[in-house]
Amino acid sequence: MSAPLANPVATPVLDEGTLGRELRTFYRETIATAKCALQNQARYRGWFVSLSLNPFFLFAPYVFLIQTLVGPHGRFSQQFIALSGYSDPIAYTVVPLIGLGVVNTAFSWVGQLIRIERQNGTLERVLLTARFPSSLFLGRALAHALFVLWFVTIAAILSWLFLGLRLHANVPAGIVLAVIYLALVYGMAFVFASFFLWLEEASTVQWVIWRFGLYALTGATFPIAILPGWLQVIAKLIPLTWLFDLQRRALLRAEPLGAMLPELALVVAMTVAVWTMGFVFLRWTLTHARRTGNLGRY
Amino acid sequence: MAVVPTLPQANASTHSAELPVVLAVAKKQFLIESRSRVKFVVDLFGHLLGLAPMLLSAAAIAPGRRSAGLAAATGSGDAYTFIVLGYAAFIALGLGNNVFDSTGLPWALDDEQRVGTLERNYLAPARREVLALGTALYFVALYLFNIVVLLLVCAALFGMNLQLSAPRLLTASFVLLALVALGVGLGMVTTGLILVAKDSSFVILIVHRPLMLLSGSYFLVTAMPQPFQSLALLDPVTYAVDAFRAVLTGGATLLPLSIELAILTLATILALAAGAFVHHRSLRTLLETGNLGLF
Repeated sequence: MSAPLANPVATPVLDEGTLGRELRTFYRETIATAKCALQNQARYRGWFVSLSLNPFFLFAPYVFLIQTLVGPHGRFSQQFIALSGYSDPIAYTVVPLIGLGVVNTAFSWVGQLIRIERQNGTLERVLLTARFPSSLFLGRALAHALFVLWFVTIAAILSWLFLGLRLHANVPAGIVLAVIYLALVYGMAFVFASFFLWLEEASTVQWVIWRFGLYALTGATFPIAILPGWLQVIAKLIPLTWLFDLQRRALLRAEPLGAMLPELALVVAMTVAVWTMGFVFLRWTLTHARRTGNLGRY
Repeated sequence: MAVVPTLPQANASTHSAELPVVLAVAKKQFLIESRSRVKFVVDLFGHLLGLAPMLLSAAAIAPGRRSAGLAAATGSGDAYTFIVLGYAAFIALGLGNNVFDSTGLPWALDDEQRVGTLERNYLAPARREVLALGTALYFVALYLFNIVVLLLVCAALFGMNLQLSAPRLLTASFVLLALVALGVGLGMVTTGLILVAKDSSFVILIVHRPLMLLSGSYFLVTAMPQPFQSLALLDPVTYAVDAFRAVLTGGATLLPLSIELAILTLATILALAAGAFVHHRSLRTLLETGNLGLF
C-alpha cells in the first residue's frame, strides 16, 4: 500500500501555504489512495464476481422468508400492509436490503482501513506519507463509489428478474436520496475507522453492528412499529432508519422531494454531524495513538 | 520436489494413536479462538443476534406468530418454530451464524496460511487429514453448543411448538449429526479450494452462499422463484433441513422421510470422501509447487 501512496506526497509541503496548493495536495492524495485501493483489490481474482453476486445471495433468503410468510401472491400480507402502509412486502424489503449491502462493503473498504494498515504494519508509514490523513478515507470512499453503481445495478436486476421487484419511482428524488445515502454511509465508515483503531477485533464488531444492529434496528425487513417503544427511540437515532423510509417513499410511492422536506432536512443534518464526528474522531484518535506509541502496535 | 514423500504420514499410526492428535489440535484451535475474546463471544452467542431480524420480520407478517402461508404448505403454521428449527439445522452444517459467518475449518486454515504457520503445522508427525480433523472437531463442538443454546433460549423466551418423543428425538439427532459430518466434508473441500485459490471470498461465493440461498434454512423451498426452486431440490441440505423440521413439528416433508434421510446419508458419505480427496490433492499440489506457505 505504501508505494502508490508515497508518490503524491513525496515532496515536503512545509512551504505550501496557499489554500490552492493545499487543496491540490489533498486531491492528489485522494486520487492516489483510490488508485492504490483498486490495484490492491485486483489481486483477488474472484473479487469482481463475488462483488456482483454476493449482495443478492445475502439478502435473497430474507426475501424468501417474506414470500414464505405472506404466501402465494401475497395472500396473507394483510397485517404487514396495515403496519407498514405498503402493499408490496417484497419491494418494501428489497430496497433497504440492497442499501445494507452497500453499507457492509463501505464499512469493509473505508471503515477497516486503519485497522488493516496497522495489522499489516504499514499504518505508520502510510500516515507519514500523507499530508492529510483524511484523504486516505476519501480516496478509499472514491474507489468504493466507482463500483457501488455496478453492485447496486446487478442487485437490482437480479431482484427484478428473480424476486419480482417492481418500482414506482420518482427518479429525481431517488437520485438525490442515493447521493445522500452514500454520503451518510461513507461518513459512518469514516467514524468507525477512527473507532476501530482502538479495537483489535474490529471486523467482528463491524459484523455485529451490521448484521444485528442495522438489520434489526433500522426496520430494513419490517416496520419499526412492531418494536417496543424504547427500541423505537433507538431505531430513530440511526440515520439509516430515516433514509430507508425516505427511499421507500421515493422509490415505491413516487413521492417527490418536496413532500419529504422535514425528514430530508433531518437526514442531511445527521449526515453533516456524522462527517464532523469523523474528522474530530480521526484527529483525536491519531494524536492519541502517536502520543502513546500505539500507532504501529498490533 | 522431494518434499511430499518426506512429510510424515500414517505409516506407524493406528486410529487409536490418532485420537490424541485430533484432541490436541482441537485444544490448540480452542486456545487460538479464545484469545480473540470479542470474536469468541460472538462465535458462542452471536447466532442468537442473527436470528432477531428474521423473527421480527415474522412478527410483522404473521399475526400471533401464526402464518397462514406456512400452515397451508406444511400443516404447521408456527413461524417462530419453523425459523428456529431451520436455523438450528443450518448451524449444524457450520454456516448458520448469521452475524459472523466466517468461522470454521476453511477460515481457520486460511488464517494459518496467512500468518505462515500452516506449513510448520503440517510437518507434525501425523496424517494431514487428522490434523485438519482436529481443527474441525473444535468447530463441531462449537456448532453443537450453538444449537443447544439456540433451542434452550428460544424455548425459554417464546416457547416452541414441538412434538417430542424418543423416536423423533433420535431421528432429529441423526439428522443433526449427519449435517455436522456433511459440514466437515464440505469444510475439507472448501479448505482445499481456499488454500489453492488463496481467495476465500470467491470460495465462499461458490460454496457457502449457494448453500445458504438454496437450502430453505428459514424459508419454504416451494416459496422460492424459479430457477432457485429447482436448484434447491438438487441440494441435499434442503432435505436435511426439511426432515429435521418435520420430525420435530410433525409437519409435512417434501419427500417421504425415509428418502430424505437416505439422501442425507449418501450426501454425507460423498462429501466426506470428496473432502478427503480434495484436501489431500490440494495439499499435495501445494507441497509439490512449494506454495503451501506462500500467501
